[in-house]
Amino acid sequence: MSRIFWCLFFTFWPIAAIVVCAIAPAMDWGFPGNREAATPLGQRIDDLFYLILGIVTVAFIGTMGALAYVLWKGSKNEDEKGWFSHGSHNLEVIWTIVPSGILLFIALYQIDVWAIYRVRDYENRDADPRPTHLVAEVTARQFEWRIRYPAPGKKFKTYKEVKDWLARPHAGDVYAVNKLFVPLNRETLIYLKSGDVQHAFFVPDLRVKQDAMPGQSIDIWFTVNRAGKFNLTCAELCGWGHYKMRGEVEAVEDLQAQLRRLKSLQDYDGVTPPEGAPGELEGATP
Amino acid sequence: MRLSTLAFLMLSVVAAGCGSPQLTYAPPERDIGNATVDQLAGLDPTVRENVTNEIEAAFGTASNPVAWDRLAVVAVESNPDLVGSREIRVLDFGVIQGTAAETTQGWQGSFRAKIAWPDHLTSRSDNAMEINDTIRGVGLQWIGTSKWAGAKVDDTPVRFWVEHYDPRTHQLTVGTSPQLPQGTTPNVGFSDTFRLVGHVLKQGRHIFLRQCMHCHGVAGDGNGPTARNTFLKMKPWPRDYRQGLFKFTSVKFGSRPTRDDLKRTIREGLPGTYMPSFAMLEHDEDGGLDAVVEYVRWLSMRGQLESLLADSADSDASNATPEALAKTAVEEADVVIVSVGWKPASTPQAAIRPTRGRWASIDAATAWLLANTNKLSDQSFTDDKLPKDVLRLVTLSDESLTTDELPDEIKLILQFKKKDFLTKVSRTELLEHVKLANDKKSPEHLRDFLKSVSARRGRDWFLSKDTPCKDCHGDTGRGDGPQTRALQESKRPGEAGKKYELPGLYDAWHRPLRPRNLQSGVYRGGRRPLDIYRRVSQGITGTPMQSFKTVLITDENIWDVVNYVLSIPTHGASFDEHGHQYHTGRNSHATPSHAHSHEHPADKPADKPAADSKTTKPKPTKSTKDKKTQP
Repeated sequence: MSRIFWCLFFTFWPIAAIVVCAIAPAMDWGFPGNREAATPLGQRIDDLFYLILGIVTVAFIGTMGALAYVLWKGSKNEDEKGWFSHGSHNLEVIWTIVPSGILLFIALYQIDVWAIYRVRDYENRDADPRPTHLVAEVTARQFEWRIRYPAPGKKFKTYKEVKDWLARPHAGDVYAVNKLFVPLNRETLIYLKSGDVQHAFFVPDLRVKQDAMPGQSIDIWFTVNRAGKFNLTCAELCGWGHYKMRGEVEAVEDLQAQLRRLKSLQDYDGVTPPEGAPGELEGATP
Repeated sequence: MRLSTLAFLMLSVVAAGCGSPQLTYAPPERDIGNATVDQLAGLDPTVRENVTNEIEAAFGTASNPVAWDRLAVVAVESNPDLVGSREIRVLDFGVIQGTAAETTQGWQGSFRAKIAWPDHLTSRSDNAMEINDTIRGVGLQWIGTSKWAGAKVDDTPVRFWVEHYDPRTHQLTVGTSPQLPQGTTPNVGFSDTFRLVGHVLKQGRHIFLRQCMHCHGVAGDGNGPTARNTFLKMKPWPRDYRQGLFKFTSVKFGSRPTRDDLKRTIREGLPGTYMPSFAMLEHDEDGGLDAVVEYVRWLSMRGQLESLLADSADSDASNATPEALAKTAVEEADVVIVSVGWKPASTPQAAIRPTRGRWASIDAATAWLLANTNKLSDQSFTDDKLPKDVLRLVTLSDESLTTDELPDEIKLILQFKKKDFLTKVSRTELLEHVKLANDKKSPEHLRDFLKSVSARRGRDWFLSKDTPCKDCHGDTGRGDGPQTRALQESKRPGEAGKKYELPGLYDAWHRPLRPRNLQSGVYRGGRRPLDIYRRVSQGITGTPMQSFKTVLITDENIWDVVNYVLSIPTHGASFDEHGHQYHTGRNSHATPSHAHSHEHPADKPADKPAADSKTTKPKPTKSTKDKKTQP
């Protein structure tokens, strides 16, 4: 009786794994953002996850299936004596080399993604024309995201200019809170600061997560290739109001138009109506 | 045995964390020296009980604030026939119309009704639980001559309230308290209409307890659990709503804020303080921001009324009976609320706006100067012939003028002109810039130049002895003026003539206050020119920052100050002899940073020979005059 139970028990799991894998796409189980990252790098990160998931699933189903097979076979065979493999040099070599090979493969295979995500941008800063991609400075503080954009139309040519802009406020800067506009289909550079404690800039749909450290300006690179609004959350427990740190990242076709709109709202003097958004002026409610 | 004890203990520990916390409104406080005392504690016990009861009757308790229908709350102008309403519309707690529909089989102490669910709330109908929570417990107010309205049990008026709400059919189950006995059920009136009042307030309370209470406290007393945290030491303290004073408003100094002011503060947050932005609240919940604003106003009114009652009960205890006093005050609650400054919706609090825009005067002056260049070079053309927009920035002659026949506006400007601290541009310098603008065919050049003149005039105002700006904000705007080191007159009740124990400024809540460091570029009330304009022209309620409209008088002068203040973080607080601002911030350099950057290299060659050829150099004289007027 108990023999049958264990046979069934170990047969159940590989079957369950296959069923879960089969229905997952239909059930919409997967990563945030309709299972598809809104950045090319995020898609590559997803691919890595799926690759590892695939390896693990195959290994799981294989080992569990083998176990079930051996159990079924052994349960019927009452005559033959068991073979004890403990201390088998050949077996140990196999189960050391095969997983090592798999791990080595994963380690080498992901290096490129990691390099793009974290390392490559630290090289050749001054020769790189990419300071032009600077979009905003985001300062995380308890418990909000304060955002500062350069003046609409302002272009940065060197990292020296970028550093100078980061160091102090400049005339024409555009300020916002909790809502970050980023350009669509264009490489985006954001500098992350912290106003008080450690925070983390986390946009699940973009697969972007970066800690904000007090006293540092940390650069984040990404390219959003899907228009829309994405939730921005803090992923580092930063204090009692951690849950209040909700923001939004919106990818727009024309970033400059949005900046001009924000700027004209910011320049509102109570008489000259700002262009664009009359809805955001003070209404007539008492 | 031991196991069951252990299990019981563990269960109790787990259960202790469950259940909703007990909410109570903090009592009103009064300052005595360094500490605050419970304002009610000092009262006679019967009086205290009366005040507490009456406030509870009008506003309910913290965990069951059901009685808001006792206040006259009207929101729909077209239906002024609300039972018990006066023509005062102070509050807008949300109104839904409904009709009593049918009884259940036999009177069970409740009946059913159907309501017209407002359109703007339908998007939330996917969350039935939440809607039910919002509307449950809300009181019914009968419209017109309904038999239900006068229902009484043993002379106690019956209160009708929502027991259950079904969001799919919009059917209500209406409960009554005290319960109507079965025999006395009125069988008429099932088509009577009623209003549900207060669902907005209930929604506001829901959000307030989740997002705001932690700092602002259950009663809005600015003393929530986080504010009390010894290690956090929140500075500034969270606002105490109970005086009805709110700092960053669009109205007159000391007046009650508009709904938009509160909404703006919640949406934008107060940069540089612990008040974060709740911009996303708008996306999370329809009308969430409006509901919180309404709840905050309601808490503020409650606090003011409570304090008023305690005060009047305290002072009049000898002659009038406190019971009667407290009763009248609550029965007249809506009148009292108006008397403590909350304006009815029909005559809203007037938001202060400038009559002329920030650059209106500069634009007008630029246009006139470019159109009348030839007149400027004519030596017989004198100040009194200039339009006032130009005259306030420019001086053409030094002779004294006979001002008798001039219009009042011009007289005022000439009067200011005599105060030598105010920057004026001489005919020589002006002509150079006009010529340059004409040569380059760029009116922007002249406009930028006049903008920098405006900022310089703003600095003169800032440092002048007529305005106390520098006394608190310091000569360079760092917020380190002499008043921050002086002992201040105490404003605590009963301490007239005494001073606060520690030097520095104090706010209306008797807490130490630091003037804003204008070099930091962080503006709590917002960075729009309109926001800075309002801080200057009407002040910051509850702080020593008063309205300076009485000193600066005209919008143009206020804009001068605003232009200077807004230029400090980027361009610095001082000017060199060429009128260029020095950046005096952390990254201070010897090189001047330019208020009108593209003009400096170009105008220098033109500037130099002109200054040499003249015997009088206008600029150096100006700067020495500046120094003279500085204390």
